Amino acid sequence: MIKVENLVKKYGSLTAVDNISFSVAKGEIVGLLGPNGAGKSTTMKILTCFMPANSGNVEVAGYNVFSQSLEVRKHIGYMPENVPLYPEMRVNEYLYYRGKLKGLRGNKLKERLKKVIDSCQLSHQDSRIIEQLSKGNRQRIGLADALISDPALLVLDEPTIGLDPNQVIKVRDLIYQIGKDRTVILSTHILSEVETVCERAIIMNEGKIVFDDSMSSFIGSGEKSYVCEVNVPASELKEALQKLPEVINIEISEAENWAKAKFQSNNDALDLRESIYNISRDNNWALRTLDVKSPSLEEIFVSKTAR
Amino acid sequence: MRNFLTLYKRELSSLYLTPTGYIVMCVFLAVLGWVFWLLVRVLNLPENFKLEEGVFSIMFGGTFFYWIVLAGISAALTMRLFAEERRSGTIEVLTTAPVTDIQVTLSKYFASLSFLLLIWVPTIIYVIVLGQFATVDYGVVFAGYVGTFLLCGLLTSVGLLISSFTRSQFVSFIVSFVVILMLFSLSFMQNIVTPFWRDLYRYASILEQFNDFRMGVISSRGVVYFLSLSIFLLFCTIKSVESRKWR
Repeated sequence: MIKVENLVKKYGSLTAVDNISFSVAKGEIVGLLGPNGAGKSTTMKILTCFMPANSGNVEVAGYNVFSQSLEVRKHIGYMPENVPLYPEMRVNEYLYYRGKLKGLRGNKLKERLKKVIDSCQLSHQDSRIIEQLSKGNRQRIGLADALISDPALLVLDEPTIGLDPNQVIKVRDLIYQIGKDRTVILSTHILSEVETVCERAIIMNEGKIVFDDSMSSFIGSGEKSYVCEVNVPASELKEALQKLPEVINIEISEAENWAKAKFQSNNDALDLRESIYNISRDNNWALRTLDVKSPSLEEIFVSKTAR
Repeated sequence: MRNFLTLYKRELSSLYLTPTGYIVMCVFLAVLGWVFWLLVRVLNLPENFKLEEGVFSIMFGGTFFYWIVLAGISAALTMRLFAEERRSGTIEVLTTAPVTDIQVTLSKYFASLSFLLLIWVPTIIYVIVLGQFATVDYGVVFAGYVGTFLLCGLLTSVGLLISSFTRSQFVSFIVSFVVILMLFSLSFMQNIVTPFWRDLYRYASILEQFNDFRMGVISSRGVVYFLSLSIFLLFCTIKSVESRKWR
């Protein structure tokens, strides 16, 4: 659905997108992450034909974004950051106008209008003037606008920003539902959003792609972190842990007679929790915490984009 | 074509859903009404009875007010066309919809021009009223309106082009207003240049070309002049809008 090859975009002397390549298959839900200034919005603006690239090749649905821009735009539903709207129009008027602009007519348009207004929970606001609406509602109008023509590709730039927690959950569910039968690429700062909604994460930093993998493959891999807490002095715990050959990177802290150790294993196939339990049972220690977790997206994000 | 009509209707709606259109209309009709009244009073003074010109040949282009007001309202109506869209960011959702730059530009042009022509319609009342009390040369009136409409077409295209260069409505207004006034004043250049250039300036001068219409003559020279300039400026505007794809 999306094919990006050696994309470069410069604003004067500043290179916003530095020779990136990736592709998105039909039906995938991809999260584009990165710190501010990473090049996410620029990449999306190039994908949606808003601005041209300096070099490289970008294709959407098989059409080139530069030479076949009109065809590309027929297949895309785009929601820019900050959702720009016409303040003097009413919600239903605006969506009706956008639907017409995207090629919908007559009953089909009315049907789609009703559907997106319901899906985005705008039914109670549909005859209000846009200027009077809250940010959250405006966000929902932007989403409804992106969805109205039932596009094959949805490009969403920070779709849940400014929404309250309830709305965030509903919008995420909505994206997840609609992502089942179309391709979605969304950019966000909220890592948990990518973890819950997306199948794949692409992390950008300073114009380059630093991470590109499916969520399922990295959740099962990577260095697991263990944590345990026992009621002995820190030094004793550390000594015991060091005896285990698989344990590496031990961090010990002590508080109120309880020692807490965080460490990693150099053998992912082995679950060290059993060994830790055995040690504490053999030494008659009270064991308060014993847990293991895979690296979170946040940890990967921080490690890849730290400055 | 459908996209053009959809865009055209939306542009027109933004003029009657916001105060701008109404303010422009009120100011325009107030000034023109005052000019009309003043002309009738002045031409009724005994010392002016020998004058050849009637009210309407002076109202259309014979007074300073006509040119200033037209420059002002053209600049005011066109200032938001592209500048506001750029500033608010709606240009992004507009240009990423499946519409062409030509459709976007022409819809804005015709919406603005339609409104500008529409606000002239109430002035028909002056013609009807005067016609009850005096002899009106309807040829002059008709040619005056035609000339005015062509002139409005030209001024709208100037304003639209300038609006496409900037994000600030204020800058668009000021620059459009000044450019239009400079175009009007080109006719005065005739008096200070060499004979070789004089003819060129006379042909290029808006005031000169408009004179025929004031006299009641709809000449092909005048029509071609206004239409061709408007079309050329529209072409430049389309290129200016397309130029975002080159940067």
